[in-house]
Amino acid sequence: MKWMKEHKFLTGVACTVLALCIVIVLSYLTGGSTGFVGRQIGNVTTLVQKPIASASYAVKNGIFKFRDTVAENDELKEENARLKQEITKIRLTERDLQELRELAGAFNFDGTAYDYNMVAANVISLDGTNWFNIFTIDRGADDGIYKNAVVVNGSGLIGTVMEAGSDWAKVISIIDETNKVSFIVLRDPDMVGILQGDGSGGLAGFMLDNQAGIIEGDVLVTSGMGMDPMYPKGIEIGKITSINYNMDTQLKTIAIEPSVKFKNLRKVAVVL
Amino acid sequence: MKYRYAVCMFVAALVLQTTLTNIISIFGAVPNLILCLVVVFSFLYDENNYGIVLGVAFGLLYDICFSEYVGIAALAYLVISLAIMLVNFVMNKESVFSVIIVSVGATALHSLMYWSIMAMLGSSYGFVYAMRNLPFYALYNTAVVTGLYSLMIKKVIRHHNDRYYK
Repeated sequence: MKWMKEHKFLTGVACTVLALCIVIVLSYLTGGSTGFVGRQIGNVTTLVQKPIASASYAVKNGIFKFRDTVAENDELKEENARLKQEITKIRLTERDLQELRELAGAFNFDGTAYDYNMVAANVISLDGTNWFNIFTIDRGADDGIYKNAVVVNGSGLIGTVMEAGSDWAKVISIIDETNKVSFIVLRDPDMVGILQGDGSGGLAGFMLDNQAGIIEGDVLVTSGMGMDPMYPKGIEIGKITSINYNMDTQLKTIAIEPSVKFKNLRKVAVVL
Repeated sequence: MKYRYAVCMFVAALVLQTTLTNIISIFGAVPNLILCLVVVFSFLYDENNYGIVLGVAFGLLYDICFSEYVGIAALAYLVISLAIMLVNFVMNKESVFSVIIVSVGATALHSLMYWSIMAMLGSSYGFVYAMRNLPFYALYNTAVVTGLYSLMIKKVIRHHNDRYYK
């Protein structure tokens, strides 16, 4: 005690370091949830950030001269995103349609519902790591967004909601290695696999069937299988850039280039 | 400098960090304004502990609002602030080269600490990937730190021939 009184600064620093280490461990154990206090702080900061974020984007795009063009462009982007999803869904269902029609009569099959609701949101902040795996959007639980809701944009799958406040949500992208996604190959939906972040800004995965006839350039889309988060079927993930056969695990492993450019995220849509 | 002015600067940095800075990114790298303030305050006002106290407080706030896990940024700023206070014994405060060296070192330490802690928490992000933007990141931070240093140094180191010296 005497030493602590004589070295107040060092004692204070040591206690702070210890407290921060405990906070980090607790945060890790709770899966990064910030709790009630964290959500309230998030609400306040989002309130301040929203106008500044939108103003900064407006300045970047030329607020005075091109404002209308930018608004129109945003609308077109959203429409383009919807149409791209529609095309993917149509291409997927085309091949299965024949079989499903036959099965429908026998088993009273209802098919997969594709009419998901979507909420458009703006990216208002990125995390401090410059890794682009986490960002904050300006929509939250008030708009129906919930934890593990799937986030997309016109290019494809972005990630899932990690935590949702009343009017903000933290999104963790698929390039984070904690997100595992089941996929199918668009060219042949019978070829199924699982992918996740490779720790270097890309995606890596493996095929469930090691004899699967995949080729470089094959487009991968979500399979619709799996739970929590349940990725809707048909969302584009990326393209295969390399294929290897691992002799030890006897798995066909692949490297994937994500369709989404995570450095340039501005607008996203949350699937509800 | 009074504490309230320092707090105002950190608040402004917190808000601008996550909004305005994203539109001036180079290869995805943006300046870390809170880190820049921690560096400048630790370098110039080491006796007041501005860097440590405000770095930890705003690091925590930043983590709560924008990061996956809480406490990493706060711990990183604390360690950086302490490191700067230590190197202050051998650095010339009045030399701009000193602050440039400190800024580059602090940026590297920040990236290294972030990567190390995330790796300890199970992240598989590669070292090379985490450090790929470090040159741009260091460049940006050093530019901001040098700017802030130029503005604040005259208030800290006063000379007899300065007009405001009393």
